[in-house]
Amino acid sequence: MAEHHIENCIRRLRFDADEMTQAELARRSGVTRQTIVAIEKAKYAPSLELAFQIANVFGMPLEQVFTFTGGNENE
Amino acid sequence: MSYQEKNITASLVALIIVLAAFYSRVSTMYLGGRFDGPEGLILLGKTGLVLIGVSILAVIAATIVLSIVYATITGDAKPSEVVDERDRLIERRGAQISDIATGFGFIGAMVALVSGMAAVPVFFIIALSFFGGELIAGHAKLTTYRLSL
Repeated sequence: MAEHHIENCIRRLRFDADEMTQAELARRSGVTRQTIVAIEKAKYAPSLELAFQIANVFGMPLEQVFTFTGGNENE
Repeated sequence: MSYQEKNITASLVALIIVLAAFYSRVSTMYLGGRFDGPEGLILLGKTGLVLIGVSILAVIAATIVLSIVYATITGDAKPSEVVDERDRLIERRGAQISDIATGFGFIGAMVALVSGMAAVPVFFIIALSFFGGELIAGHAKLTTYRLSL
């Protein structure tokens, strides 16, 4: 699998959201719990649409949930 | 275990059972000379069609049975049937792996044919490569799920 450069703070956001479970986040995002687990571990980079959906669940802008850490490879 | 993982597991179990039964029966028929002569190829074609039909039915039956067993064990009467983008990605990768494995099997069968092997064993090799491709792909997909890749 390709190395991902997208990190996230979903674990902390779930904690702040009254310990929202992964299953609840998955249900509200329309994905499986396993996908949420993989995203939290930064082992799977979600599509832009799913990233927006997850950010939407927490009522936050996308860039406060996901961060690109790869830098500019053209530099 | 997600909905897709259960389906893959059921498919793998069903395919292994069908494959074992098929090769046990067909090898007996082959050794008994049932595929010899002009009627042999017709019988071979029928056997292939039966194999495809039985495989599909076995996968469906195994999926249903596993769902019932899983629901009984976990007590979850209405398990989630969500299939998301990651499931579809893993499915596509599995299909690619299956295609590659099947392709190698087909090339192997052609090499066997060129080497002078009879048509009937070559047919078995091709059938085995299809099953083998599915088994390898299923295993790869399950591994991907289990490792949260």
